[in-house]
Amino acid sequence: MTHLACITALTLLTVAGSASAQGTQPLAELEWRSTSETDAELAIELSALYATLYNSGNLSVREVTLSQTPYVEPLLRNQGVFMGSHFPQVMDALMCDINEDACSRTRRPVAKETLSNLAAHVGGFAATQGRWTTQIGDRVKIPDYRFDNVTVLARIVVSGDWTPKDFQAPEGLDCRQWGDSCEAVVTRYNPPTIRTTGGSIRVTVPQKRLSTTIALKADDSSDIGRALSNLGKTQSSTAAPDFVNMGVLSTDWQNFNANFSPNDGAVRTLGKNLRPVGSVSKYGVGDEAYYAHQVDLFKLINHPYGTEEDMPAEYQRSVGVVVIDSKLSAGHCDWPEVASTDGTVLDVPEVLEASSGGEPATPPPTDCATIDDLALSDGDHAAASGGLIVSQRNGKGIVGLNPSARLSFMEFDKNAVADTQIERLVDQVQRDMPDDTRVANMSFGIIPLFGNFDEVEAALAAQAGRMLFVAAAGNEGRALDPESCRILPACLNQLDNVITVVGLNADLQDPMPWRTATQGTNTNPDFELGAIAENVLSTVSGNRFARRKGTSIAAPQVSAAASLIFAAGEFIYGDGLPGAQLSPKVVKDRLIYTADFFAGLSGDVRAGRLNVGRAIDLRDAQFVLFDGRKIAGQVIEAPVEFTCLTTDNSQKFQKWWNVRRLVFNEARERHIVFRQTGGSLGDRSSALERYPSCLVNTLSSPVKVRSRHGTDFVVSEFTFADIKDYTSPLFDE
Amino acid sequence: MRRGWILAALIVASPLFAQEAPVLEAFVDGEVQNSSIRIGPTEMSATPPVLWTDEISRQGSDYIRLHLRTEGQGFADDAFVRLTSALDQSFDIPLSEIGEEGYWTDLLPLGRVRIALVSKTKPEAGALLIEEMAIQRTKGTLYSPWGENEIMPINAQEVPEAVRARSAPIAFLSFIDGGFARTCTGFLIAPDLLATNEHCINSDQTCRSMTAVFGYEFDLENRLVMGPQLRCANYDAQRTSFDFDISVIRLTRPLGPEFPPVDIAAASPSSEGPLFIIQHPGSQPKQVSFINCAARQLNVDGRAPGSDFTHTCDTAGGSSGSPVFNAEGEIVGVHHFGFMDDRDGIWTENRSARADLIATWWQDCCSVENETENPME
Repeated sequence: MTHLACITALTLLTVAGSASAQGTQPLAELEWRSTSETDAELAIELSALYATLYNSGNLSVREVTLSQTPYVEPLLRNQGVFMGSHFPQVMDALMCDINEDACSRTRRPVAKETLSNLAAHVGGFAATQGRWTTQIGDRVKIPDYRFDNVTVLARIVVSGDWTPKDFQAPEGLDCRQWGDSCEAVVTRYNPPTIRTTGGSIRVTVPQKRLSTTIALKADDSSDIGRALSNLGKTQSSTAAPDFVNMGVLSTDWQNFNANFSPNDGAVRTLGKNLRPVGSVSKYGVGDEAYYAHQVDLFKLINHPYGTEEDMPAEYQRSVGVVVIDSKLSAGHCDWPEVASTDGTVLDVPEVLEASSGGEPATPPPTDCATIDDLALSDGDHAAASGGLIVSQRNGKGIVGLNPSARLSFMEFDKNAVADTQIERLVDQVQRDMPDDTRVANMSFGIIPLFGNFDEVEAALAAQAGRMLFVAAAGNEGRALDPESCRILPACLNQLDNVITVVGLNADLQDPMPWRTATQGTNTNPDFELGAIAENVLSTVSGNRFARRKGTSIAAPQVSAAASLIFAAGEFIYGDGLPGAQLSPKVVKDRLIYTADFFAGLSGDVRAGRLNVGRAIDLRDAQFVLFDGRKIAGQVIEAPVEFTCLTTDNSQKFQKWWNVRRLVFNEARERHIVFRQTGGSLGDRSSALERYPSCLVNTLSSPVKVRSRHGTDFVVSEFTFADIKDYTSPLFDE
Repeated sequence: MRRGWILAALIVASPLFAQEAPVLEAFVDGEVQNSSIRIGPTEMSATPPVLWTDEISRQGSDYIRLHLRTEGQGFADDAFVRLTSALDQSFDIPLSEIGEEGYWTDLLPLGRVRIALVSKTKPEAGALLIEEMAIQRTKGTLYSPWGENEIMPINAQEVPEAVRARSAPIAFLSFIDGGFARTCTGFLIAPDLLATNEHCINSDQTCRSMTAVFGYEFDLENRLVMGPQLRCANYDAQRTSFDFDISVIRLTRPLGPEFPPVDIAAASPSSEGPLFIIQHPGSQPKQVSFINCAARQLNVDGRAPGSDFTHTCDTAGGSSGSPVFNAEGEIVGVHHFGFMDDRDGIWTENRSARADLIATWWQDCCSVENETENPME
């Protein structure tokens, strides 16, 4: 990269703001703006833009249908992605290479010295005419960019007798940014000049330009990537681009790319057109230093980050989550700003104090990159619970399960005697909980010595209108039942707003309750949900990371999932009602009936393993058919009632609207039914019941589901007997 | 043989005690469970130095202790086990100190501990074993031979500051004896010398398993706090008196001036007037009895003729070895047992060994050779 281009990149990278990206490396999001004064120049400039983006692997595309003409040039113009007086050959070659099924062309490698100009070739080959076979109705890929008109002030050459009155504003010119009409702006910027020299002169006039936003990858080998690695505090707010796969590349071009970053080349080639969009930098989840350590967890609980995809915008709404845990005196480099519930901002990581009873603890590092498995303190416990939820996409360590959550910590003193703990917990829940809290994570357990069980129950129940409490089952390895269950808050899970999380091992196919040589999860057939309790990487105190185990690290997985449901559910179903909130019971039920069922967990946990992806897909009815098809969409036809062959008369007739989940139990070859018990229209405030043995007896009734594919809708049709697994949307519409 | 004779004599000596049994107040507060946890190569991480971490939690137990042992070779010379307690105190135990004989860890409060095995090399066949766990299970029944039980936490508001000021050198003792987890109370008489009852610590074996926990108490906000834990460095029968039920043991290091020793040489022969006993009854964090706490009968026969006095202070199992102070803060006795009516379980009398006799014995036997300089601050 030349010095000038390097400076350009660094300049672009130093502006804060929001941007978008996905994938395995950070992206610099930039504004491309045309500079051409003529239509001919504009055509060349646009083709240079697309060729450069394609050659550097940064071209974003979408598919459209050739509806009026079989030719791609008019299609591009109709779609607003190409303008100008002509269609340069490099543009035709590029379109041909990204639509190889519909076009072929003669490929002649360009000279090596031409390669560095990314606008002068297509994949290392000279621009040649494509041989197209497209017909009306075919679908083709086109660049996916939206161009806006912007008005800029430009210096142009005019004849010496030009006066401001000669200026005529073309349509679409908008000079409001200068606080005046364009004519007045021209007059203001071109005062009469003493002693004009005749001939031609340069004057300042407003001109229309095209503008669009492009994203450039910042790979590890690029100057732009290295600059970006020093940033990373900004976060994405927009959708991720879909870069087209590169087609055939010349050998020389492949060799060139091995030695020089094509992304730096793109910056150099497009330099005069680029400007910051306010920003840069956004890290995809895959950019986290320890993402590889997290993939197993993401896959086990089917979190969208398992495929490196970012969350849609509705899930990025901020939801208040409180972690009730041991005292925490400092934040973490991988967190956003977090505070205690008393308002104290936890902003400066501090070194652990030496213990008074034994050898002093080793001072932790502060480089935000160290995994330290000796981080075993109570403060580390709190930091792990919170960090698993809210760690940021910033390329520094890990990504939390809901980085958009608004996290705060409530100190809970586990060193007081049990009854004092209970007394304080009641006070804290009633008095100190921030008003906007929707989820509280409680990774602790108390066994009351005397009474107080009812008091805690009352305190939690009082929040049933606004908050869900997520409790860890505890690590004593006890098989509990409703009668013997005396651990607070885990054993209060009969409340509508308390859900208790059992720890599971990391076996994807056949999970079992988590056990180690010294401890194991408590189980109870009434505890609702399981989550992963071993080898979970999270943040700990002193800007470190550590692998955690136990139900304490399982519970935050459910808390994060709950917060995502609150975030998206209140957006999707709020219907503009100010302050409208989801009932915590609806969220609790959602987490239960969307869980992955495993026969091996029978008797240990009520539902199964947390499935984040299924839980947060709120709009769609989700079907898995016995033939393997997966269909998600809106149910437009289904039987109002279906029957189970069962000796239990109360379960014989199932109302469709009441069914939240049908899941096939292979061990029994019957479906498990989760259903609401109130009325026949799926009242979500009614009890959620689990019936384990429904042999579906309604077989031929048709089911039709309308699904979205891009901008189109398709309707899938199957019979009721085809359904292996069904999950209802959060609400029926 | 001699112990049995003395106790038998006590039982039959007085008609008052015809149906009562003297109970030494070393307290059995828990059980020693066989845990059989073996951390071998398959349980260890492939990436030293942190070969293994885990946690042990026994909800509802005030504390646990672990019996560690190693077997086989292959650990690095400086390998160690790190224990991080629920109070975030860390204890590093070199594997070289654990050995094949085994090692009882310090007391781990609140029944929770996180464990890490740290070695720069991973052994091919070696293992760390957690063979047993001493788990606190029971709370001693606090009883009073005089009206209602009025024992209270040392930091309770009702406790006079002058009383609280004497509490620093008094420690909770935990040790393993006869397959049981037992507790007593002890107190410093020099920066590294701790006195307790002979019936608590009376052998090399009990010494090896003993830990003395200073500052084990509830603070003003009812939070459990703990100061330093020191181990018994050695047991010396020469520093033990069966007659006065006293053992003086040397700790592994001297404590600083914030733990001023009880001046046994200044023991008062007078136990008249109000008394107070700072103690760990029923294995609980530090308590004090000072209400309705006084001597009743002086110069009664204990293990030796005229060695004891009776008192009305409230105590319980675990109070054995507690210093008994007079109103001036002078030590007047060392509590060691009580009497219970064995028909209905009512406690009728508490007894302390006389501190003045203990002081004389100590002066004669050992005080000079055991003098310890105060450590530098």
